[in-house]
Amino acid sequence: MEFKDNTPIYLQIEEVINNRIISEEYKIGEKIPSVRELSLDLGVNINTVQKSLNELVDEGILITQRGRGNFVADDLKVILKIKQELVNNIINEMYDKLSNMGLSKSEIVDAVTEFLKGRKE
Amino acid sequence: MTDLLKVNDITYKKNHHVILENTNLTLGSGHLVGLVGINGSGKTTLMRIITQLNKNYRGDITVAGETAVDKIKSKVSFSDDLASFSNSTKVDNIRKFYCKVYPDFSMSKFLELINFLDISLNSKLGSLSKGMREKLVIALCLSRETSLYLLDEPFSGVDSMARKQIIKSLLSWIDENSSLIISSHHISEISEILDEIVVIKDNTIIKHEATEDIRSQNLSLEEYFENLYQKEIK
Repeated sequence: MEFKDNTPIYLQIEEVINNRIISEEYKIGEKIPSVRELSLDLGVNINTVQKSLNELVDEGILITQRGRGNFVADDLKVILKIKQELVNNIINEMYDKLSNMGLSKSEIVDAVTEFLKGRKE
Repeated sequence: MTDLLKVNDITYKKNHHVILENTNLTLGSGHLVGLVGINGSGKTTLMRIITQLNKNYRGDITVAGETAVDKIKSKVSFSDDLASFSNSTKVDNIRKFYCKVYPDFSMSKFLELINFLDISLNSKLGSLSKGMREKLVIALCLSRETSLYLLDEPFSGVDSMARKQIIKSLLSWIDENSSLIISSHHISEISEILDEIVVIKDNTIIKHEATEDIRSQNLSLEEYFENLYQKEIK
């Protein structure tokens, strides 16, 4: 796994875990790997992984069960919320790039509409 | 919680040259710490002082609450450059030597590590490539069951595949009761596994920061390090 070195890694790990939940690699209500396993799997410091998990617990995406580990929340609403967040992030990034190029809002909408038309055919 | 390592106002001179001056550092346990500085900045000297190999320093070192030379030695594992072994020495004989000298040397840890790092007990020291030799140095250092591990430039001459393998072994071998300090003049190689960095410059420790705090200023560790040095160039 490659991480950007100029952005906090715990935020990037949160994104990785969220993506794994969305793609159902980590299923709703099921246990995720331990902090140590994630540290090895991702090649990052164990304290950094712990920080990401703490944040995800605070956000209600993960639930800690004492002595058993961390579980994906058994709640579809939470999963939909992550999905919405990820979608927003991607659109946000695209919007920033296009508006930096000088495109207006309606030009962006047009460009996206054109693009989607092209994709369908 | 008590501090794992306390370096208190250390000054060290060699042939009337100041190498370290009024140097202070406090570390807790459970951390992977990068010790960075340009070549010749005093990284190795600091490690040798902590390990009690360089003795004529002024100031105090405390490791896991111990201040006496012998007690400190039992709490610190410093990477050995293996210079005292001849090329015909077998890995297994080095292991035997370590077992004898260090009561805390764990055979099972060592066997597991060299197996993971693909080193054979029957190899002769002289037949190992530079990267293999570094792996052996790391395996020997980490196989002691102690509090503080010091690795001096463990990645010199190591290719990227071996580096990844070594990094995994570092991540899995340190627990919440110990800490590891890795010196490097090439910090980007190891930045992801570090949670703290310590910067040496102008004969002293000038910075001790959490790596995530640096990244949250949108700086990579390398940029942060370079900025500290660039001030001087202009």
